[in-house]
Amino acid sequence: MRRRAKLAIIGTTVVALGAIAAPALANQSVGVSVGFLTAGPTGTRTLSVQDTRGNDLTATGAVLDLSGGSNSFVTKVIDSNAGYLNTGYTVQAMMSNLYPYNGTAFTSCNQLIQSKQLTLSSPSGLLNLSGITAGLTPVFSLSGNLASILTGLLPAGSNGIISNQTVQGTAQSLSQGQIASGNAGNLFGSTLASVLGQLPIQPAANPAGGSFNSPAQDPTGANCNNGNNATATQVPIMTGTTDPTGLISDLNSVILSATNPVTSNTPTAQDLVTALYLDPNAVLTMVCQKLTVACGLLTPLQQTQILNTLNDNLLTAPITLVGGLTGQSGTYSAQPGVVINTQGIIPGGYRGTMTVTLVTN
Amino acid sequence: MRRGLAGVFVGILTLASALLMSAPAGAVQTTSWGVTPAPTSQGQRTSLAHPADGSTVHDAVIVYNRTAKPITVHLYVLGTSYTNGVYQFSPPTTGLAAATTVGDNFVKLSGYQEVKVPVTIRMPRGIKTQTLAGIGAEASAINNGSLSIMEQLVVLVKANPTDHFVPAPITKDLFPWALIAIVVIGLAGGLIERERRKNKSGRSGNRWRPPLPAIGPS
Repeated sequence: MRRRAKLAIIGTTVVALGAIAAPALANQSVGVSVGFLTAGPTGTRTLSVQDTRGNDLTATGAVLDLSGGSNSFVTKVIDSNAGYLNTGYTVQAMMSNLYPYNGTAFTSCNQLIQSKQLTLSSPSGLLNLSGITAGLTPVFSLSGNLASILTGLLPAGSNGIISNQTVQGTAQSLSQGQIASGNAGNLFGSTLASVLGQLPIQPAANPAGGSFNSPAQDPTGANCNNGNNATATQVPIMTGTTDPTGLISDLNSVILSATNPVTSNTPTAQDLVTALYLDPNAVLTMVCQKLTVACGLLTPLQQTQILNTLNDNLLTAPITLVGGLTGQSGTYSAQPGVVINTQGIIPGGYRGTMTVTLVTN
Repeated sequence: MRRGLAGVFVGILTLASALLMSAPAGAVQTTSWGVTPAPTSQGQRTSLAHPADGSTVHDAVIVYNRTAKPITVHLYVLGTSYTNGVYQFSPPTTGLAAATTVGDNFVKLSGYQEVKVPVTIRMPRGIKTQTLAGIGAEASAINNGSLSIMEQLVVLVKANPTDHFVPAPITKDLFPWALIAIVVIGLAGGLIERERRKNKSGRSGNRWRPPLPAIGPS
């Protein structure tokens, strides 16, 4: 009996230890669920690597030929459907060593072109942007004296004055022409530089590039064990940083143009409602909360008078934005060049792999 | 009538094709495949960002094929930092990368298929600045010319500092297991106590003793 009790105690202790250890093991248990692509808001960000004629360099048959010692290619980041959200990007590259290749197989691990003999340059002058749009939600700052309109409804002591009270507007979208001072075509060079601060995603103006000092893992089939993707030198090609602040003046201008206020730069709440920048209920709710008035007691006439009295001087109280971008579209292209330092290289056919990486920040 | 039914059938097929062609929202993709954080109740995301509160987070990414041809996407965890305008990667042996696992390293996709792959992250606690890891994804390079071009997409894993005190260590993940452990230890204690009482009552007179050898004149 005593032995059975001892066994039971040992057994339960083992089970208890197992229970304590189980969470660690539970993390290892994984499942994979499978489905097919389904519909939904379809904001996407696509990386594309092409030759200078527009052919996809990751497709069968496309060639980036370095036999002349250098070549150029194009990397594109394409934000589509104005659905991508408030996020910048970094495009960078790593390079393997290049090994002798006879057309069907790698022939040597020793007679190689080291990755550090290849240099990538990505001049900012070859950045090219197009199809830029930005989704954003403005916040208006309304002011006005409603005392005469709300006679009998205001609580004792209230002066009926609304002063710079913020009201969230409705979501808006700006086109490239509205963002980039009327430039609806490709933005590059001095044109790009002149509108850089107004863009929702601002590409870095500094030239990128550098040498591939540490190699990425060998190309498939080489098996020379000379590189590692996790320690390879990453060379920047193109970066873009989200910054919607430059869009404020653009949207201000668009709103002024659309509302055409009688008093310069000061559209009324009704002007903004008519031009679909504001929801009238949002304005009335703000007024009722601020002045402690029961909204249900407002007559239609009073509601109209409130909307016609409150206004936003967009020069002294420009719009602000709710958070960051609510959507973004655009194609951002760079044209990097790759140059091989051919000093000491034995002539022949070589092959390596360049990995182009897109990180969404 | 038959022609009408055929029209409806074609319409359904067209609609189904359109549905299948749509990429998940917030997705990062190449021209042939893509990867994206699985959407949450808050909507689409572009990274796997969670508070650094010491909990174990069960998250997921969706990997999908944009073409009709089968494809295999390699998923792996990367140590990640951002320096001088570029992401530096390292083996996932330390930091947030060491605490991150993906449920499947080689995801085989048939035409237009999408697969949700679990990601488990043991979040750190008490960090002052955001720490990063990466989930790298790549498909096989197609060997062309002197340089084969491979595309790699990286979904960032972010541990964000919390602005409030995070008590240690009983996490919600540990709770059920801790409960089981307490019950089992309690049972073991009960058995020990029962045995002890039995022994005690045996010593007081009722305990069985082996018979003594007979003693008598030889």
